Amino acid sequence: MSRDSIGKTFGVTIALCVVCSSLVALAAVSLKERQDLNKKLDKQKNVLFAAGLAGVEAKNDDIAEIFEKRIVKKLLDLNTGQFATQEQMDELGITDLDKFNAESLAKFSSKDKELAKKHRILLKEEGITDIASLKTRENFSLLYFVRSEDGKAIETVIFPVKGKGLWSTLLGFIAVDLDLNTVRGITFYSHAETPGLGGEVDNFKWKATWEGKQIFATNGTDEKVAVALGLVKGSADKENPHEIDGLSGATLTANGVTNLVKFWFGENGFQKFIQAVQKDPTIISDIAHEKSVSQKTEDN
Amino acid sequence: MSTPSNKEVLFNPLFKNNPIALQVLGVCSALAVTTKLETSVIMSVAVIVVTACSNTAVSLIRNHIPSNIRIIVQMTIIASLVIMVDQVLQAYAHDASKSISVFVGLIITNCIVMGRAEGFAMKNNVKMSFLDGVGNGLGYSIILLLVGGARELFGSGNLYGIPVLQKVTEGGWYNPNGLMLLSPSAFFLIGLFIWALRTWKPEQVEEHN
Repeated sequence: MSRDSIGKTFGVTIALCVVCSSLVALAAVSLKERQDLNKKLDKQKNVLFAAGLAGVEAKNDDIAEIFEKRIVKKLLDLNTGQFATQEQMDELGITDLDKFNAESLAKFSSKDKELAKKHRILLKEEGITDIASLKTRENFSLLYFVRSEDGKAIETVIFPVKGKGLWSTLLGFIAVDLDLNTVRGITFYSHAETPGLGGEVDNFKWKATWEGKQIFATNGTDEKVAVALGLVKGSADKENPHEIDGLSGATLTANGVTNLVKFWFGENGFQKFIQAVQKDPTIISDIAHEKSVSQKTEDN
Repeated sequence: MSTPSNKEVLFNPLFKNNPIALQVLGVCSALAVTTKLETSVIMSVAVIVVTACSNTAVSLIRNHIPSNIRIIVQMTIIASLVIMVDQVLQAYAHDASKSISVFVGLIITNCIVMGRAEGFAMKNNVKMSFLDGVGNGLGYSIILLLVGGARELFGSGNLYGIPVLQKVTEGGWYNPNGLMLLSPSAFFLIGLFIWALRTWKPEQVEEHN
């Protein structure tokens, strides 16, 4: 049979497709476990970075251990500012908070509008100004609480944030002290901004300047008025607790970072939760008394 | 034309017949991934692996590939290899793959891979094709590393992430050149490299009529 006959052409094509697709499938399936582990570790690492519990040189084993020991995860209902109930979690089909994925929640789509609304809101439909260019906002957010060394109290709260920069959506964490105002640290674990310009959001020296800054402006009393924290053009005034150095050559990324802070600590983000905690600080302090999953199993 | 020796097939693409400098193939990805040396290194390794394996695979079945669908057959092989390389990177070099994953996918459209499969592997035996793939991958890499090194050094004062030139912002003397981090600078650098190469090897200069 000549190599250009129809039969041979079909034969070669089919054989090639079978071989190539099985190779690709084999690679994808056999490496899946490792890849998922990497993703999980990467996220945990960034949670610890934000809280200042680990440095860049931290080893993977250490990270998993510190995370297990010091971090408590809680799912927050952004609409009510309360932690999600078991009922809500069942409704969303969440059994394991490790597998909670805010991105897939925000992108949830369904013909059933009521069902979709339980997962996320369309900002435009709700008449919300979309300053962080998100289009949709998930209704639930996974917060991380850092236990103190002795495990008896909560030291830091870590909020997940996201917003559009120049090229990409920046995903990150902001760690805040118990007053829910003073920043402990910030980190972005996923973005595709220009390396060297907008990509400087990864610069450790720049990230360190966030420590101690105040998110909210106060009007003389204890009442927190509005989100004031943001990047300025050029160098920040060291005396001003709300100013962060701008990123030179990356105005749009810098604006994106300012806007995402404004959005997530504003009324459509974590503000309801923050107000609830101010009225009743036990919301957070009670968490320290909850046993972590690993301790529970040890008790049994 | 006499048959070239193994050594010639492997080393000619480095300077004598460089895929970027002389054939001007694969320039697009050379612009995109060379802002840092680290990404250039990973991209280089990925391209060497893909060109070597695709050349080998195409050469292996070259007598069975029907000529009217040969391009699609080559594309299928290359695409499968690229997906596998991407998966391996995600599993074993997660941090790096986060920053270059998009460009690894674009190896599929890198003309060097396709060009060598069609231009060399379809006519030569497996061993020669493999060497040719490695050689062309190396030729691509050498430019990528030079451009990547220069851009990282002058654009952010680092080499492989390690500070070399003390930046003004960190209390040093060097004021980084932001242009180096943008794509046009890679054009300039590749242009300078081609100039230098043709001064060294004048036979590469095209003749004017």
